Amino acid sequence: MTSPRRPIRSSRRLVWDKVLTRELFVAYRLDGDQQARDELVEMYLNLAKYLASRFRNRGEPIDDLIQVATIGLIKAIDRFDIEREVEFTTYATPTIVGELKRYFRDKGWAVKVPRRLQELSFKVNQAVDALTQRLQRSPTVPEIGEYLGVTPDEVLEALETFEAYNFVSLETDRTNDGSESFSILEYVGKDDALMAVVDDREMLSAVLKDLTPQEQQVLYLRFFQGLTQTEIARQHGISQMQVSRLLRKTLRVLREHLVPEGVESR
Amino acid sequence: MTDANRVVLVVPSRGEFARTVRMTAAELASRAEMDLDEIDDTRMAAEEAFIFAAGRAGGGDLTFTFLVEPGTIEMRVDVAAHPSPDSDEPDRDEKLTRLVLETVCDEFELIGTDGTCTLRLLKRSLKS
Repeated sequence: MTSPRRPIRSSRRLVWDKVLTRELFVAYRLDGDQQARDELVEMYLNLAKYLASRFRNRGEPIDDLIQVATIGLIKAIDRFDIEREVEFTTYATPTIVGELKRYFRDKGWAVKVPRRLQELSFKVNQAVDALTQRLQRSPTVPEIGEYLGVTPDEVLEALETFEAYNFVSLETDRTNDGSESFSILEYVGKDDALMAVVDDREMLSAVLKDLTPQEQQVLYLRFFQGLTQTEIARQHGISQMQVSRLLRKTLRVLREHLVPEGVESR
Repeated sequence: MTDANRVVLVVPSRGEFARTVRMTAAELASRAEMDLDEIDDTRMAAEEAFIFAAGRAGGGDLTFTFLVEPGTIEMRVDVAAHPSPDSDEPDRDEKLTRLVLETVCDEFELIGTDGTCTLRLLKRSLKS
């Protein structure tokens, strides 16, 4: 039995009260108190609104941005580990900013990529596979262009597009390569370069929640085992371009968590 | 790289110009006769260099200089504020940048220790 919580006075909702925050998290996590969860959302809504306002000059209605930021806030509340010696705001900020950035990425890509380029991207992806098989090495851009009857410039544009465009079908691509149970946490030692960046395993654990086992494995093979993209692609039974795309996503997620104030590349 | 072709690109330090730098780097890597793996490494390196320098540019422009010859591409970008003078521990951004660049490039260095500095990267084709 926990002692009854004190009611939140409306004036307190504007303040990020550390003691009250902890009480509410304990009530929500240990007792499953949904009202405590709602109160946490309400208490930190100002943080979500503030972060949403930083994206207000990008052509999206502020109400939509607040809604997206609130989803990020709820995710942060549900994922926050109360045993961690970290302020909730420190944990929640990159999660909320990440949600907002994802929103802009998905929206932007869906509108901007012409159909012609989408189709060419898929063709280039298939051509890379076929040529890698035939040549037993990674192909060059002129070789891909010749294979498809397009110019090297078109190939380069298609490569860029493939990576940038949020092809929904790829998100659900899952090969039977054993990566579903992979967790980078089991492989990363305290002296690894990644640990020097991330500081501690708890932070790494928080980052990894945003990566699938397959993404973690690709990250591990490229940056810790030094395998090339083509070698990883062969091992996983996916295309080199998919590996490239997965790698870029893992780096983006790392950046969103570790350097939330940094420049977001598009 | 005395016989290399020199290409200079000046871009605003805003996120949407990362694509310009990525695509230029990819085109030049292809021109240097690299294969797709190496082109992608070069692209990733260019993006990391852009993010790193843009975060320290204070809103100013970034100047990328590429030196290209068959089998090799060198990339330099001036960084307005040195991320971590010798006495300081590198910040997280620099550590992450190092982790990526040391994997995807053959050579990587920050030249200069006070005030401004230059990020220099070198990528070689395995065939060269």
